[in-house]
Amino acid sequence: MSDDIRAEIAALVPRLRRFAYAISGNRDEGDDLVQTACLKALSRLDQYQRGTRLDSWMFRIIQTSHIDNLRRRKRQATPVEPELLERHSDGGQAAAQSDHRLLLARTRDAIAELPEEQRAVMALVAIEGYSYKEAAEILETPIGTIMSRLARARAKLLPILAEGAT
Amino acid sequence: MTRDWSEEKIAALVDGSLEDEAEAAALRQVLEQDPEARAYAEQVARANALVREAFEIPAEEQTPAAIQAAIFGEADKVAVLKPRRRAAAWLPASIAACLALVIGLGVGSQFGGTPQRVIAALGNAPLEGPLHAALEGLPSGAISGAGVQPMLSFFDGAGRVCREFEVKGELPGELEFGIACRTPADRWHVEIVVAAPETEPGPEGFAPASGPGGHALDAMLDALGAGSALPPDAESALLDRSWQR
Repeated sequence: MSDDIRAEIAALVPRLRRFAYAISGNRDEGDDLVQTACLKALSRLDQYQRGTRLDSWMFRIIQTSHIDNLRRRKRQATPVEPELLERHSDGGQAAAQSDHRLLLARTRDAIAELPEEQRAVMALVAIEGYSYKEAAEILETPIGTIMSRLARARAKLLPILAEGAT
Repeated sequence: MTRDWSEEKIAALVDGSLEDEAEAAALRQVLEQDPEARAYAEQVARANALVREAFEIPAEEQTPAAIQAAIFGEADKVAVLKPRRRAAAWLPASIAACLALVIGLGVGSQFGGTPQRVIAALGNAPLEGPLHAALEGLPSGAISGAGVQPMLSFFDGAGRVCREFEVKGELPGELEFGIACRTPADRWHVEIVVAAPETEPGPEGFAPASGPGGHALDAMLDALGAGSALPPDAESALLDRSWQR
C-alpha cells in the first residue's frame, strides 16, 4: 500500500511544485516545501484516510509547512529572493524579453505582494482549478472566507494585470 | 442601467464554483447582454490564465533528486534518476539482466559493429496493433505473442505514464527498444525507437549503458523529465485501472 501511495505522490509532484512555487514565490523554496511535505506525508500515512483525495491532503500539508516556515522566520529579516533580484537587475536585457514574459514576471510580483492567505486561495482556485468548496476544505477555512479573500485578491490583481492588456 | 450582477458572482461563474445551476444560467444571460459584466468575466479569466502560466514548471524538467529521494526513500539510489539504472533494486534478476542487455546494445558500434540507427519518433501506436496491446495490458517483464516486452513504467515530468519496451526487430538478430507515453486520449505515443543488433554480453557479464543508442534513450528520458521506475505493485495497480491515476 505504501508503494502505491508513493507512486501516487510522485505523480502529483508537478502540481505540488507549481503550487509551492506560487505560495512561496521562489522555485527553490518551493521545491524544499514539496520535499518536506512528501516526507511529512509518508511519515503520517496513518492520518491519511483511504478514499479521500490524496491531492487535497498533499496541498494542505504544503500550505501548513509553508506557514510553519514563515512563523519560524518571523523575527528574521526577510531575505531578498534571488529571483526577485534577478528580475529587477535585468534591465539591460528587458528589451530583449517579449512583452508576454514581462507580463508573466509582473504577474509573479503581483501574486508575491498579496497577503499570505489570499495567495494560497488564488493558487488553489486559479492555478489548480479547485472549486471554492474544495479550496475551503484544503485550507480548513469557511467558504465565505475563501470568497472574500478571492475578492480582495482580485481587486488588487486585476488592475495590475489589465495594464498589460494594452 | 441597473446592475443585476456582482463581481463575486461573475468570478464564481468563471472559476466554475457557482453551484446553483439556475443562478449560473441567469448570469450567463447577463453576460450575453451586459458588456460591462462580460468585460469583467474576461478580466477574471485572463488573470487566472496568467497566474497559471506564471508559475508553470517546464514539463521537460526532471523532478529534483531531493524530492524523488523524499518520496522513494532511497537517497543513494534516487540521486540517479534514470529508471533503467535503478530498476535492478526490485526487478527479478532475469528482467534486470534483460535491461542491462538493452542498455548495453550501443556498445557494439564502438567495436566495429553495425552502427545503430534511430528509426524515428513514431507517434501514436496503432490501436489494433501489437505494441498498443502489449503496452496497455502487460506487466513489465512479460512478453506478448508478437514479441513485445514492456520493460518498466515511470511517470514523466508532465505526469504521463510512460513505458520502456523492447521488440524483436524485423531483421533477424535485431532488437528495437523504445519509450512510449500514454496520452490523455488513451493512446500510447511512441517517443523514440532505437534499432540495434543483438550483441553478446561481454566477459564480465552485461555491458554498461553507453553508445549512441544508450545516449539517445538517456537524452529522451531527460527530455521527458522521467521519474524513477514504478515498483511492481504500483504498476499493477495502474494496470488494473487501465492506467488511470
